Amino acid sequence: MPRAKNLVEVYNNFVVEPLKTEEEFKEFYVERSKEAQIVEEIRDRIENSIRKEKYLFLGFRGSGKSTELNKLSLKLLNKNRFIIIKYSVRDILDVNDFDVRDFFASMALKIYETAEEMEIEIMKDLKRDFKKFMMKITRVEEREIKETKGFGLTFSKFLILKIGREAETRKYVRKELRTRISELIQRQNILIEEIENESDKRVVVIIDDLDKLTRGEQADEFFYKNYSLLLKPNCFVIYTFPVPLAFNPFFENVRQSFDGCFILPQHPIKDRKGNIIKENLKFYKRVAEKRMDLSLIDEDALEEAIISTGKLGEFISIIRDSAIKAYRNKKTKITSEEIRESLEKLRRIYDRTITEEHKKRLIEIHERKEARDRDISDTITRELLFSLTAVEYEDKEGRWCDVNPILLPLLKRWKKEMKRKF
Amino acid sequence: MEKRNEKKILKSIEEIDTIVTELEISKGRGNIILCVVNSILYREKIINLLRSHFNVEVIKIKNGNQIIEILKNEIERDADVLVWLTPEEPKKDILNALNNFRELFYRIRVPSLIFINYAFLEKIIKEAPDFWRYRGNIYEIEFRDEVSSYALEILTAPLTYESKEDLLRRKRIHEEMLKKVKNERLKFDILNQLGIIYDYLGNSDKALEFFNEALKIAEKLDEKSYIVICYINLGYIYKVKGNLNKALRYTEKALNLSMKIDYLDGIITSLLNIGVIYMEKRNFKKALDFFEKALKLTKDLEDSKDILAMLYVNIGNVYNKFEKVDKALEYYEKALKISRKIKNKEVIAVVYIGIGNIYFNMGAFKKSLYYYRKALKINKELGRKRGIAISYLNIGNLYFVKGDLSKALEYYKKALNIFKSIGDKLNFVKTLVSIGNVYLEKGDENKALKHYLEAKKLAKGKLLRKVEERIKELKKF
Repeated sequence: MPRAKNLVEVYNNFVVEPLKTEEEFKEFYVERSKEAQIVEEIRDRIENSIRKEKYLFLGFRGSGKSTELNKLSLKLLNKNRFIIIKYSVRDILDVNDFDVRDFFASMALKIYETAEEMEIEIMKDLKRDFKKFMMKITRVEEREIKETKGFGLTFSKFLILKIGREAETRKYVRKELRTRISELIQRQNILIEEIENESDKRVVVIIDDLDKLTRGEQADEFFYKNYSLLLKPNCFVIYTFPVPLAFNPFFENVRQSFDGCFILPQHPIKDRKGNIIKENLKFYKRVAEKRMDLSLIDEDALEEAIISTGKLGEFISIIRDSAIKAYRNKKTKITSEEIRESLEKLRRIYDRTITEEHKKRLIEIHERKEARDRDISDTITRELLFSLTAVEYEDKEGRWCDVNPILLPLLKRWKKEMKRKF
Repeated sequence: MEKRNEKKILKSIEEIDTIVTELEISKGRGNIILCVVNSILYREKIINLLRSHFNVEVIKIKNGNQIIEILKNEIERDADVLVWLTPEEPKKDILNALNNFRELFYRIRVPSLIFINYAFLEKIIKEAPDFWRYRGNIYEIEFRDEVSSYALEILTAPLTYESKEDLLRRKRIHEEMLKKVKNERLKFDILNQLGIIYDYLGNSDKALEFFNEALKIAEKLDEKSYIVICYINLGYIYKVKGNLNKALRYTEKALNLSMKIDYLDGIITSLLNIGVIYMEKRNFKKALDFFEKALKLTKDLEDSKDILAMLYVNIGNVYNKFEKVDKALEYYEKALKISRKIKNKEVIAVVYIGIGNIYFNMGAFKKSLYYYRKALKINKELGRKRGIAISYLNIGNLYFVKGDLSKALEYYKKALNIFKSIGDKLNFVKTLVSIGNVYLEKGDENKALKHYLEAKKLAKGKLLRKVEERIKELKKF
């Protein structure tokens, strides 16, 4: 979609979805500041490393991880040198019912699928052995494979579908791989070796959305109890890693086992002292400029939207809401009136849904610029970070926290209300 | 209802107006629009409103897997809008599905309007933050009291009201709404309803203005079904104004266009209204023909109680004209039963007039008067000037036949004033003739002639011939 020339196009251009295609990157992508060019660093590592490294990739919700990983696979890595296999676990597995065995089974199948799609010649025996093994662990019979071919499903696609969609199949896979997961990884590694030899390229697997595992214990199990397995694939692998897990003391042990741990920073609009960071303000303005003709919004209104939201997701929402309001009122551009109305609506919603306990903690976070749970049983801070009502940033002095900028005007009122109560 | 509450209504209308606009510009694209409405009843009302503008598919969410299945199922959808109804309790699996498969809402190329309550909203913000981030927009429509339901009732046809005060309040709100609402589709609704309100209040010229305004919007939007509605309304108002040929032309246009686009509601209403026009033209056989055609189509429809009642009452009227009393009463009974059930007082009043007419024809004047008075009472309550005048006219007829000429004259004059004030030419002429008849009976031939001559100036068709005959006879003597 080209740059918006009217308010309806503004509404449709301002969506939170990550950029995926070359065209979208060309039209909408805004270069990050030098310190935030993380995927460029990963590219350099991959291109120059002799070892097949494994990396952890971290970032808060809405910080642009998926877009950056898409950029890495689509634009940065040289296709003549690398076979890039990028997928989201959400697309192929059930993230509500997730297990390391399902993960490896589907990863192996994804690699096999890529080889098939790229028509890479793989030794017949190797192919037969791989298929036989996968059919055994999923309890799929030859007859079913033949039948599904008629529907245009390849062997790997069919099995991925079964693992992702059928609880029963996942049960078989988990049972079969309970003691044989190394056999699977071994076969996967042979497959990778064969693909690399035949194509004369190196395999890079990028797995997105692992940080979206819904149950904390699943994430714990996957990254902490089984992290040694994650180091086994004989290719480059980038794992997205859930931020809340990084608050766990065990993280340090795990982090050291990987070849690199990259954190994608947010673009705070104000520094920890509350001063506006001009460079980041420019970044958000560029985001707007790429998506819309700037004559469609008053300059003051744009600045107010950026400073009041300070996060890409909220900024986009506010512009969207304001665009529809202005359009409805037959205006030709967004003014501060619409921006304020949209901000107020959002604040009202937050005010209504945030509990007293959470409000108290948010006040603390804002005053101390740090977010910590009091003890193991205390989950408030984690909940606030998870819901993005509190946000973490990083600067030269290290990590720091603040409340979601949109809530700042509410803090004063909350404080007053609390004083009145006591 | 207090003015303060009217403000609330207008605020809700603005929110709904924006939702419709947002859905309109999201047509053919995926989108997530959250709508916080606690009351299930009002959710249904909003859906009904949307149904009059979009092809809506409603999905009742039972669990998370169901959401995933629907979103992953890459079928071509007929719907313009998917409406998702979330359960009262925000369940974990549903929140997970929303959070983890949020982008699929954008891939399906149909905008989704998701109804949630406040408890659900809270959980979405806390436990499905990615879905929250992905939303297109969020609306809060609060219905804390019965007052607020007005906002939606106003926008959903048909227009019903409890009393004259209620009707005047609606007029006030509608006129205010017309200034506030920006969406052309909602504007179209409001203009039509204002036309109906003004018709009820007896101002057919103003009603005509609003219906014509609505037609302009319908043509601009190139929405055929909207154009049908306008033709029907214009046909109706021309009938009221006594221009039966113009009325027939518009209503036939509505029928033809409805058949072309297969618009069943349009076909049925056009058939009914053409029947009514033929009644006025005193071609009862043809009228019955149209009513029966409409009835055949209406019986298969579930949501057509109003129109069914109108059809029954009109068929009753035809049989009454044919002097088939049993048949007429049978249909009036049917009409009465439905109208009471759906609390449609307007139709009840029309039925009472019909029953009164039957007893009148039978010479049972006491019973007849009883029903006319019942009809008069309802029409007074509703502030329906035409209904009041018709009741007066019928009571006048009754006294005339009974020979109580001064009472007859009293009621006719009351009727005449109202018909004049509301511009109902057809009934105005009929009443002039009736007054002429009273004076003739009284032996005051000059006054009788004066009224017949005045009627002659305005009468058309059969009525004109009838008036001319009277004048001719009078001049003989």
